[in-house]
Amino acid sequence: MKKDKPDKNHACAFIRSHLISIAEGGISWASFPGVKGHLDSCPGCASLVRQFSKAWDGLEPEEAQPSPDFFPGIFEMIEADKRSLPGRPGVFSIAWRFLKPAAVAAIFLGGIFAGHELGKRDRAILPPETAFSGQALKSFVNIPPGSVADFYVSRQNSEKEGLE
Amino acid sequence: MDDGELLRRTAAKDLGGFEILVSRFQSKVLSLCSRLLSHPQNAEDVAQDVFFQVYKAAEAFRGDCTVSTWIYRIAVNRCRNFNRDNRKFGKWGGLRQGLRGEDGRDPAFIAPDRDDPASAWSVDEARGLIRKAVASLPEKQKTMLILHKFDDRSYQEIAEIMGVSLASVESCLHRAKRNLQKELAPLFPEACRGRKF
Repeated sequence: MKKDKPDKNHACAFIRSHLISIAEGGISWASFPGVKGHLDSCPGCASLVRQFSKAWDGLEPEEAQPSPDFFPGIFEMIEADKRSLPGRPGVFSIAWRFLKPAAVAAIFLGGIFAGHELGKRDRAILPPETAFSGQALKSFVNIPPGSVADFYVSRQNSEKEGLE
Repeated sequence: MDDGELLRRTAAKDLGGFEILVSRFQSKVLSLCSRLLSHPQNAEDVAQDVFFQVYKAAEAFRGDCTVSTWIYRIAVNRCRNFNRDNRKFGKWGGLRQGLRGEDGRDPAFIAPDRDDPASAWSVDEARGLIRKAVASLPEKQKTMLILHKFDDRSYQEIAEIMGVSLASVESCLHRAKRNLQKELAPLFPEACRGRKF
């Protein structure tokens, strides 16, 4: 298709780009006498303006008709919505509403208490002073001579001997 | 029975009253949806959703506008939401598909020869091109123009439906018509070439 480039010098292009204004009477013939003259002499433009004006003034009456399933479809949506809604809250659900925060708090406090008790038990089994004593280090089977552990054990032993 | 009474019955979950209300507005709402949606084939689904919302929200109707305006407001909002959710597809598929006729050709390109006096423009032809051009306008301008030209709503009613001022409706409609003229001009092949004033 040839690409239309509106040219203001051409009457047809002017009319095509002002169809709504012409149809609504927004163009004064006194201001644009050439348009009126062109419409009188050009059957193509006259036909276009005449039919466009009719079309523009008569856009409203068309109304779509819904299918016979239209209202049953809405009714189904309402029924589906009713089914998805939660029922009336029972005694348990009301009680649970108040008990839920208390249950969460009880679990939290129980966790703290259990952690504290387990920590105490670990400390009872292996107190810190035992962990760094010569006895604990002697539990290693082979201490390489000249190593840090060997130095620590020998120092512990010499301290013990000094005390004795 | 007036619309207000029907809405009160709907608010009381009276399905009989609701059915009368639906039958009174279904054609108008469906037409509006099919014009506003970028995929008119979904118009019936969206229109059903509009009435479902009417049923659910009937109790919330404050009475500060007419029932008709209130239903139109719901319809416009639902269509806007639908278009927003389907924008990606609509941008590439919907509009171009909408512009084509049943045979896959754009009706703007198969218009009869204007130089032939026997093949004058038909009103339906012009009306079809106007609809295509309206569909290509920006969302807000398109909605206002459709409410004004297709549904014959006053500026005041459009302002209430869209939730904007009267001045905003006037300026937006002015811009819509100006843009529509620009869209329409290339759709109509030149009637007569080379003539000057």
